[in-house]
Amino acid sequence: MIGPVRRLLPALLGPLLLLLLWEGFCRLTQPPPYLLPSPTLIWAALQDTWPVLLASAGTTFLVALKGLAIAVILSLILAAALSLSPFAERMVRPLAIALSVTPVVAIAPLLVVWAGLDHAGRATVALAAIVAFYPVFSGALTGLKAADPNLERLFSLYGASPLQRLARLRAPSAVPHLIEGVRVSANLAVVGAVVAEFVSGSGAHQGLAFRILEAGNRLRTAEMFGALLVLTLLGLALNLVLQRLERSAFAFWKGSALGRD
Amino acid sequence: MALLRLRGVEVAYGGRPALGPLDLSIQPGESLALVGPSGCGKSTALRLIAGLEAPTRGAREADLTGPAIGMVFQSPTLAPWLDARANVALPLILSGAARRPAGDQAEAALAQVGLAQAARLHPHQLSGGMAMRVALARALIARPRLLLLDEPFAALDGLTRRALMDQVQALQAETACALVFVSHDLEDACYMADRVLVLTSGPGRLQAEVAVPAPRPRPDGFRGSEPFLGAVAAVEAAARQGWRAAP
Repeated sequence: MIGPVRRLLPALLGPLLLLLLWEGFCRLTQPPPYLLPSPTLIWAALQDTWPVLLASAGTTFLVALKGLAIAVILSLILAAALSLSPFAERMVRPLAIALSVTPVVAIAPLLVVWAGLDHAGRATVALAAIVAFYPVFSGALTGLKAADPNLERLFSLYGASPLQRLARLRAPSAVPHLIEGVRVSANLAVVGAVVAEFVSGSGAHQGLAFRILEAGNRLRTAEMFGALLVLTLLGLALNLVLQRLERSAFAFWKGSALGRD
Repeated sequence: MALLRLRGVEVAYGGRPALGPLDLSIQPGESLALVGPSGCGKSTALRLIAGLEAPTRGAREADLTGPAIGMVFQSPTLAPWLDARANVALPLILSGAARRPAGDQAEAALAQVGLAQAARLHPHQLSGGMAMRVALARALIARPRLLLLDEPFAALDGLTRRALMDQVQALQAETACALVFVSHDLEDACYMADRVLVLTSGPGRLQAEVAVPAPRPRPDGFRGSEPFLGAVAAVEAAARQGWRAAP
């Protein structure tokens, strides 16, 4: 019992100290609440709005998840196809890199135009997918080429077909790289979803970013902080789930999930 | 009639010679060792023999391809996502065998190397020696006529290494395949081979050929016997001449 407490204590102490300082500062200087609400005010606002925020968090989470799923499926197909043809890979690499170095969130307005104002949801999913694409794609492609060179030689020795090589050697070798890519992409998918919500800014798609905009327009700064807090918690929860998933996926990959360790 | 012949083969990487010129022939059922210092092209020679690499000059003549050749590398080179059984079955699966019979055959091959109990273990659950035996079972499962070993025991402790060498000899006697054994250890080479080819420092050429006139599998006490000690002395003398001395 002492162990986890001792490990968690510093981690909890930092945020707690910040909150105390914040609260103390607000009580002493009394800034107008629309500029800087105190933690107690934010807490009060949260108690009023949490059912709405939770629903919005669900919306944003779902968008990020859909975007991530699309990014994973597309990059798997593309990476597998490219790994079979070095020519095609050399052709596509620059495009993928261009996509990765462009701040793609900047294309959000374009996506909103294409999707149409009535379908803001599509634009958000599309942006989440585009932003999440590169890390999974790059992980998959790197992984597909990271197979043990001696295993590659064995496959040559036994006359494996290109498809056998892909299915039985390169794809399984890529799994650890792919898992890593998915973890990075998942966080980016949330970023993509939030940015697209900001840009579409309509009431048709009421995610967390919309709540932040809405509260901001009404100068309800405490509510903005509340929504921000929920967004942080969403990110933390997502990371935790992915870490677990990563660990068990890796364990399964090397066969220890069967309990024979 | 030789199983395989290399005629005047040379290998160069980017214009820099790495091996040869080299001539050698492998007779059915014989056991041949290639010894040489690091960087002399031993492993390159083995890949040429396997047909995994084409010589820059010269020719490889063989009527062997694919499953007729088994190969074991310096590290066990097992697929981490497959259990021992599936790793051993891989050569059969790749040549189109059905999963069930290939698996059964893999279990038999594992039993042959004393690992019947380990069929369902994954590589990270195996010791170094066990993993090497799995690799050996995989190399032998397609009943090759030529088995190539690229310093497979270098990373193992002395006892495991000797046990494995005896096991390889027993399996070779059973399957009657020819063996090419690459090593930088002179004694291991003399223990394993009928003929030891001593290569020079890189680019490796033939420095000397030493015969080990004794039966295989080696009898107990072979390491103290006259033919063994004589062969080791001869190989060592050739190595002293042909290998650039290390500082």
